[in-house]
Amino acid sequence: MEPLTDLELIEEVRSGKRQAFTELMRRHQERIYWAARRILGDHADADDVTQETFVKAFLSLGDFRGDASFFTWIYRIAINLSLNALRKRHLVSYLRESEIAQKVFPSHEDPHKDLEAKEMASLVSRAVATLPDKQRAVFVMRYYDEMSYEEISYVLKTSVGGLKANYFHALHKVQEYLKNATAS
Amino acid sequence: MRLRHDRKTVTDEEEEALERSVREREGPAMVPPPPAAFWSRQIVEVNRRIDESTSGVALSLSWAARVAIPGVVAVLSFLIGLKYYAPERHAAESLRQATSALASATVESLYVASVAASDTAVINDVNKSLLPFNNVQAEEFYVENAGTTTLVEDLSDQELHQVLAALSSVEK
Repeated sequence: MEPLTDLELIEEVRSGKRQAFTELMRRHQERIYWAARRILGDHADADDVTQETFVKAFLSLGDFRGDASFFTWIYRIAINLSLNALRKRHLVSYLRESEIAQKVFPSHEDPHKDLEAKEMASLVSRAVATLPDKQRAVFVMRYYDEMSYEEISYVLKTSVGGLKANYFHALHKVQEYLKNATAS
Repeated sequence: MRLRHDRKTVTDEEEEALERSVREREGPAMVPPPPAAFWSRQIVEVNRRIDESTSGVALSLSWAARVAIPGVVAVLSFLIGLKYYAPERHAAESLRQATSALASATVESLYVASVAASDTAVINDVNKSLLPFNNVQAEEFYVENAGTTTLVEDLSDQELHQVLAALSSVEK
């Protein structure tokens, strides 16, 4: 017997079968988790974003019209949540720096960088962490998830031309980072 | 110096070459994956959070935030708006009620006195809401049907003086 498609599962969820949503989660949770983790560079934050993505998806399933695939739809939720988490993290980091500066204590360790350092096992991950937020998201979607520019455009609501330029710049920066890292 | 419009568009081949170069330098991925049990624990946690969100309390809070509170605010705004922005309607209603309680002769005398005093703005408003005829028609009515004797009995000397002045100007 053929497994049900995502759309068929969605119909089942809409008719009240919660088990169908669990099946949808099983299918897509790993890809969502890894996209979030590559952008955030942290397991706990990626876990949080993945959970939040599926809770949001379940609660707003009525808004899903099927103009994109279910995966692209939830991927979009996940990327937006990840970018929000990054913004919050920058704000917290900025506030902590201000606090430290006010107290005139020298900062030997940035807690945020320390947190990320645990994840910087591969050179590319380290390079990705240096990219601006949006470039980071574009890089993860294109480089790791091999999404088409049209799909990325749906997710980030940006023109394909702008995305191409963003990805090319990101590739350049990562390449430079790798060159410098291997040279030193 | 290169201007913005001088920049050439990146071709697919250039992008592929650069990407290949990055992948070759990347080496083996060493980011530790979560343990196998993590995925099923995550599903359980998501289901628990969905149950929480769809429970009675959460739903009523969500309903209150999305429907009830905006609804109450809308009704209150409407009522406040009605009270403060339509006072003329109530005033017209009260005036109509007050004047309908008066004797018709009193209303008529007030009407004629107002004409004599040239209070045309007020009389026009009163006329529109109370009487189905205009100033000239009213004056003609008094000249033809009532005459000066009827008015003498109802009006004060000052009012009578004003009325006679008005009637004589119409008769001329």
